[in-house]
Amino acid sequence: MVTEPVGLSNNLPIKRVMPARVGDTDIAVWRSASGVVSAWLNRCPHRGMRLSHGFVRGESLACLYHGWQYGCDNKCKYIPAHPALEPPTTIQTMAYTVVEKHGVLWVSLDGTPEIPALFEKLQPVRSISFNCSNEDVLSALAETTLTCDDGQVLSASDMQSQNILILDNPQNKPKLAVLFQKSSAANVTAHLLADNSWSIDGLIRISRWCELVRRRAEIKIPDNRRNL
Amino acid sequence: MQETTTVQLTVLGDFRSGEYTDWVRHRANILDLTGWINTRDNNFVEIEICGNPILVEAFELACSIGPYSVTVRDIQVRTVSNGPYSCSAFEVR
Repeated sequence: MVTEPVGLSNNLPIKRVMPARVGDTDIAVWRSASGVVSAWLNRCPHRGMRLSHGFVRGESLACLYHGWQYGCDNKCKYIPAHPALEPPTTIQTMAYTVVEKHGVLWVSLDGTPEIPALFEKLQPVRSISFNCSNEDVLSALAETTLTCDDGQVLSASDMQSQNILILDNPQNKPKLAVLFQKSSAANVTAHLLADNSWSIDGLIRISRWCELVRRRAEIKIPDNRRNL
Repeated sequence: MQETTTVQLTVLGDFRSGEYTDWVRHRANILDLTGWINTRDNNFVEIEICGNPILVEAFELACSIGPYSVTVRDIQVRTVSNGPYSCSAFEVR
């Protein structure tokens, strides 16, 4: 079962749509005016336009190309060129299961997303994209240290699964989790979640730390270790 | 009762890739249309299609374009009737 964290909840406000990728599948994730989140194949059934380029109209997502609107039940509701026509229910988008939990949007292509329990005590911090391979990101992570508010230096422990990296302290309590969302061979998105021990300054430090990781991962030139 | 129309399409072109039939069936199913398709040979396809006139028109337009691997050179459209239709699905004959 492919379950991917496709974004942080607070990065998808109401009446917004965003593109994402799960495995090899392009998807559009959108939130209706009432807050309902949907994840669909990023392709309009009409002419194949990416739905992530569209607009949210109340409880529908409208394709940018010809304005066909699809409701939260993924069925076509309205065709602007034929306003009197009631679209047949066979005109529908390909919908996937999306679950919003622990501040993260999880999508599964084939069933209910399996969400690891460890995220219950973690809060979302931010997402960041890397234009490089997963290996480059992991390599940069290993050489870029991060210091907690109490002065402890966090280090990356083993990968919990294919896409989750935990940074913890010597007591082995997760301080920071990095969820990797592999978009392609040369593009990775990471979602960072921290426990409640971080101060505001600490969260800012996490944000700067991941930008440093990105610089190191993308340029692939080792620079001097720098502690933040 | 919902208005329906039935039209026959004669499509001429290059269908050697074999993708046209499935593509047309998929499009008919999306638009909730019934009827059949008969691929006589690699250059000649007959289609009969029935349903809401607006959706039938959209279907005709789609058939005149076809998938990327197909070249449609000409499409002739003939209205058969404007009443109910006997097919309950879209068939490949």
